[in-house]
Amino acid sequence: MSAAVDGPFAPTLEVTISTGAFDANWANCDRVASYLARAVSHNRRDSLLHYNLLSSALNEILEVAFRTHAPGAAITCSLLRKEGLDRIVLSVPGNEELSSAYRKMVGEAARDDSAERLASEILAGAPASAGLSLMELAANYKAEFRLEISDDSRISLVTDLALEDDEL
Amino acid sequence: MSFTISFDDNNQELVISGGMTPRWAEDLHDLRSQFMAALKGVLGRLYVNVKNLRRLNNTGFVEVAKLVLDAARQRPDLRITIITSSAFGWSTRRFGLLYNLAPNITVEEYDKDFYPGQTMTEDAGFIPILRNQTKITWRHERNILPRHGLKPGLVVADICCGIGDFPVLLYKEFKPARLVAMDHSKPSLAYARKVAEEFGIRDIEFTFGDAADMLLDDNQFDFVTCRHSLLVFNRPELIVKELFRICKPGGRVYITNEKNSHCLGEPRGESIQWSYNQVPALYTHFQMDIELGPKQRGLMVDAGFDDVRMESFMVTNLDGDPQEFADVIRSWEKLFCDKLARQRGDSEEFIAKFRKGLQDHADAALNPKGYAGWPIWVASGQKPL
Repeated sequence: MSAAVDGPFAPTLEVTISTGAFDANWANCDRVASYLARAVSHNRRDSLLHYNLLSSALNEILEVAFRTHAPGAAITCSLLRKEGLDRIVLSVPGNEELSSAYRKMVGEAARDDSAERLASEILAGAPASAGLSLMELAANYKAEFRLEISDDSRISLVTDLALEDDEL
Repeated sequence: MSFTISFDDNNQELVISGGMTPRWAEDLHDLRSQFMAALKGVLGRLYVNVKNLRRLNNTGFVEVAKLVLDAARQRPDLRITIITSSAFGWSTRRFGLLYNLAPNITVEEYDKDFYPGQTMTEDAGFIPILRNQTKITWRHERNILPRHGLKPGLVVADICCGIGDFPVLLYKEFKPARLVAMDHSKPSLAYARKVAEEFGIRDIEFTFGDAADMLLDDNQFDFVTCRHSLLVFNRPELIVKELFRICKPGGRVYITNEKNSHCLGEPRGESIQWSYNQVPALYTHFQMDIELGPKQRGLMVDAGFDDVRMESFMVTNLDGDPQEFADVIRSWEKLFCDKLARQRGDSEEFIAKFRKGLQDHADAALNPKGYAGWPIWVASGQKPL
């Protein structure tokens, strides 16, 4: 998906939230997702659909961060764009154990059979989890994930979405 | 954003609407209780209506999915139909996953399956009719619109914008501060975007959506237009309710519709009249009301509008190039005779007579001594402050 368009992603918006403020209320995921998506969707081919899709995907990723981050100063969420592609970079404080958990989730979500596996997890009655959220984004939004781990153990989850794809 | 659940015993329909973003599965205790209670009393078919569920996180989806799957297993006698909306990009895709997981679960997209008339007019073949119609009605409406409150600098929405020619004309003539144009036909929107690009117009926000359930926020437009569209919906009051919702208090909603049986022409007035007298029943067969024009006042009053203004105008062959009006009538002939009447199963004899009256109308438009008319009703109302 990403390789289809040449050139770098251009940053559009970035927010940094103290983990204390973010963790204080689960509804912050939805609020931040809605605020950011509304701010960047106005000039897309279909601004309302783009907003709905991006805010839904972003909410899911922020919920993953809400559930899965180490103590630390701040969470940073950056939105970037390259033509019809959107990139979300979510950076959270991490540690070795969390890095391993994120690697596992991203590895699972990156498999080609994400839709089939999501269906079988639901059929088996699996509880909702951060891993299942990423798997669903891969299955239903064709999201592609990449992980970057910095020397200070910060974990950056990079999600690429082709939200203007006609099939979405 | 929070969600609501209600159960309509009469339709055996569980409706979940709003935003469902629970942190834990346990947060959905009420949903589970109501679902189980609903399940006890239903026979034959259960509708799970999620078409107004605007936000659903994975935790919420997994729980709803489990409830539906468990119900499908426990009640193999039951057909469970999940009603999704195409207005939300993820709705059908997500719930579509359940379709293959149990034989008694089906997923229906509300917009496609519930508006038979609308589906018909969303055909790309309908585009030339819409293009010609707007061209000939604009001559009147450009003068009528200011009487209903349209002026430069307003925030405007055109709902059911079709191929986008009306918003383009409105944009050029009235210079709105913002113009959102929404339609439910992807071929029409693709055409609209192309036309706007060719004219170098980049400020019209064309968006896909369901007029009965729009993604647009409440109270955000000074002026809302919905032209010649209510007639294709079997429940136009739902659309008017949505137009009311998105209009700012003090703003106005402007709608137009026809009463097709009042089309007229001379010479051969009797033949023309006979054919147009057949059209209302034909449209009723497809759950559309082509006689809606004069009913608009009642619709607007019932929806809660103040200061409802009503007027009518007659498109005629004397307005401009008569060929344009004749072309519109010929496109009606194709739609009425070749498509709708055939789909209804009408006899060849009926179709021939039906066609003759429409051809006579087109001939009247082109006749140097003839007169052909198409009456249209305009209504607008103010949303109370």
